[in-house]
Amino acid sequence: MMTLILLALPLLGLASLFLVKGDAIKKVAFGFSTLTFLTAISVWAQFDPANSTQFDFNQPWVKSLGISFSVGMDGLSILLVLLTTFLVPLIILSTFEREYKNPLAFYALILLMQAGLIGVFVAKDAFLFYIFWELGLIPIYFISLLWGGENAKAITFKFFIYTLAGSLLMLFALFYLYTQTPGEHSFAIQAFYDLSLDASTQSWLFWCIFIAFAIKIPVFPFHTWQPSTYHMNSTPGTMLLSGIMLKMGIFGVIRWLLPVVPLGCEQWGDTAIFLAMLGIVYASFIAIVQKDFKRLLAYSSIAHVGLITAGVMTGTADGLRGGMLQMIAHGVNVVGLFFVADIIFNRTKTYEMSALGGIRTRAPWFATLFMIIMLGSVALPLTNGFVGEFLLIKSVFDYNAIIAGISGLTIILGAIYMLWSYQKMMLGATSKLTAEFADLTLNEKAVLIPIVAVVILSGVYPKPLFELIEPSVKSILTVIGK
Amino acid sequence: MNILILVSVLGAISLFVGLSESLRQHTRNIIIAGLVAITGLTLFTWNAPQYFQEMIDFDKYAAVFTSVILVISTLVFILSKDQFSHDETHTGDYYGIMLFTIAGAIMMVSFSNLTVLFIGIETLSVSLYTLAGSRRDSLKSSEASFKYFLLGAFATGFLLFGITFIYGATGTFSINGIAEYVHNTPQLPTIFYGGVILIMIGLLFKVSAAPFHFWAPDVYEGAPNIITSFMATAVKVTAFAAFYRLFSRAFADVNHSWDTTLIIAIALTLLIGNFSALAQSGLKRLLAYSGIANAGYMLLAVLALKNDAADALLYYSISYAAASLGAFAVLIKLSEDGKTFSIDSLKGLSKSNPLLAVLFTIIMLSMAGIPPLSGFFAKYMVLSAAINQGYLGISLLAILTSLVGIYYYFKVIAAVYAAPTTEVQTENKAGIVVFICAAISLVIGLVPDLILNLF
Repeated sequence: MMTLILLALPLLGLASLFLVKGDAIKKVAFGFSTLTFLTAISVWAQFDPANSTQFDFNQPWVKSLGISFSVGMDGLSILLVLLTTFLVPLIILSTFEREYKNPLAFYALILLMQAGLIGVFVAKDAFLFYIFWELGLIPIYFISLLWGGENAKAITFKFFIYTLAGSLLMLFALFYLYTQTPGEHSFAIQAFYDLSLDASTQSWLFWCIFIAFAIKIPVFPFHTWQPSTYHMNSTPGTMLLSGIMLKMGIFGVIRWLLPVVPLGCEQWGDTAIFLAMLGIVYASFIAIVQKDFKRLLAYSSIAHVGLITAGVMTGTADGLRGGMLQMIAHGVNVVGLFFVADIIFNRTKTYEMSALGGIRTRAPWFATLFMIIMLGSVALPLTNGFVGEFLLIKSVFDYNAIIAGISGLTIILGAIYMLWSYQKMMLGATSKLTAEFADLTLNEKAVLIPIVAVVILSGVYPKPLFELIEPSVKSILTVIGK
Repeated sequence: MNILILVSVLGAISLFVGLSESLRQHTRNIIIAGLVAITGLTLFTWNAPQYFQEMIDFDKYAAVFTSVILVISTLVFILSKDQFSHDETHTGDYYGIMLFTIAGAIMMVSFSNLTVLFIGIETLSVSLYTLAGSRRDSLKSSEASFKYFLLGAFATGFLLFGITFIYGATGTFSINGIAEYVHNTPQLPTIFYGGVILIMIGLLFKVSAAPFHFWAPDVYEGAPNIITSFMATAVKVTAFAAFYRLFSRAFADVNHSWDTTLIIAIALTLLIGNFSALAQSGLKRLLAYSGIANAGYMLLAVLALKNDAADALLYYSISYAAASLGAFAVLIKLSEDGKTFSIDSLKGLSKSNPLLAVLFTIIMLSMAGIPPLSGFFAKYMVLSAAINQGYLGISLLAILTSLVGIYYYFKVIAAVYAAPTTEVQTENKAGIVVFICAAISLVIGLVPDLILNLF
């Protein structure tokens, strides 16, 4: 029942947007998304870590095709639902002092997207999972198209065609799996877990499913849509894409790829990890030479998720734990960083780092909060980035020391380009553009302070998060290990 | 049978009402009321099959498809307001001919004898040749009519040839008789296979499948908008229902020697339809090619022929007809007959008419096959029917080409939301038909069992 409430609240919020006008739209959207977050918190409080899936709801939907509206949450779902419901109110709050044309449609799409994202994380039926997967895509398509910047049409097309191509392949694979389920065919996730297909079938199924997720994450070489899409998008759009949407892909790997085609993963895991490693190195080096801060963040995101993918694809306990934790850390940090970029752009009208400088002297609050988020992003111990990244590198190291060594570059290179960019923009003498740089407004503080709080809290004391996911990680490992 | 008679009588009434100057302006309303009543009557025949000799078997299949055709036609009539205003004295004639087309359609979905199928196809086709040319002052309209007539007559020749071949082999026109013959004959004569292939060619022409599709874009483009919307929806659904009925009833037991031919036709239809649509700049022509592409997906149901294929075909028909009719309704609302309406002229629609823009978006998303709209389930079901029968290769091709489809449907959506170049002046109203079509796309997408449990 709680799961249904979580799904329904954003939709309810969407409907009530139509009842209000003007500035109230933002507030109603913010109110409902906050309410959703509080519900998610209460779900976390009620959750019994000893059991796996809870808060189930099961209702046949299309009986003749064996499709049911089946949702429920285990630790992994709750953690990602928490991430989603934590970030969406902040994303909405970050727009309070910005003007977006046609606010009704804008906030309605954000809330619709939130419902789709939550749905992806709680679906227990493959078909339902696919529906929510697509439902998450449509709003972001319109957000990119309508509120995107220069060249939005062409870039959005590329993004859309890319992701949909992957989705269709996945649909084909899911349908094939459905026909393989015994007796009255079923799309239930448990039925998929119970299948024991032979290695050669799993081999091609692996690619059909993996490519869909790899495009969404994105993993090298399926990443080419990402930098321009992030860069062109409005800040809320970029935050939704990088903060939450790409987690759909990694979550998909954990929930729908590793346990469903374990032999396929065994066979092709090396290749996938190798691709992820290539992505890390490639994106890190490109990030170093970026002059544009927003573009730099886009590439650094590819590097970070590359490491998560590599860790998760090892299929080990540490890899899964690290992957889950790092997803949360990355989501929170990247939203913070994109908001930082937005603040800078809002005041100076440029993302060009060399044109900036000396902001620290003008805006100490801003400089401090930015610093902490950045340290989280470069995985300094005692910040949220450290725990996950450490476990991920450990899992990759157990898998193959050389790959781990190369992947570890992400930390060093990440430190280089992040500190560098911080130095260029924040330190030194003020430039013409930053001479009048105003410090944070109350609203901007209200967005950044919760993010900073999470960066520190979950870095110092990650134990509750581990406890939340542990049984689910174990049960996934049992399915893989059969 | 009664339904067929009633529709024909309604057609005759329309002709007479059209003669009287005082009643003329009510023709459309009378027809709509009549069609609604007949649709209601059809619903009562669902569980009470009627036979008429060995000629017509008005069973559940026929009743369901007749209902669908009648509902679509009613919507087309609602849409046809002011569409024939250029020729008021003959409006009743056009309406009458449209009703005769429907009569032919009903024969085509309820036949149990090849002669009835042939008469139905001819009744439908001859009426359509006339309707395509109903704008006598327009060169394009006349050209469309002439092209359609010449090529249509040619295809009818194939069909008739096929029917005689089958008769030569089996000695009967009755589809039950043919099925029985097939069942009892271990080694079918070559002439029988020849007949099947010839009939198939004739029918592929009628459903505008490649490589027999060349007439479709030109005829769709040239015919008046309202007639095109009628052809693209009601007529297309009819042709498929007839195709499926014939092959599943008469030839079900024939080992699938025509598979290769049909698969090649489907592959060509999918590729040509989708890739040609990609290159179109006019909305009407784009819809014509999208109709060809959709024919490819519907043929998958004919290919699979077993189990849930009839369900899948029915669902696809309704979903496609709703989306297509909705798109044509938008076209009719925004454009003037006989003028090319480019996709670029949609620019700014979201500003000038937001309601219409949203409904049109829903319709286009359904066409593109985005869940949870009906277009997604429709494609999904024909594909699942085909995959279940082991046709993996062509199914994969269908999935990949649907991606091309998404590209051009989204080109249209992107135009709707682009900044305006020319001011499209419409009042902020969408029209009942667009609304109904969008609602159907959404509702049967959310609750597919509404349709799937019909058979």
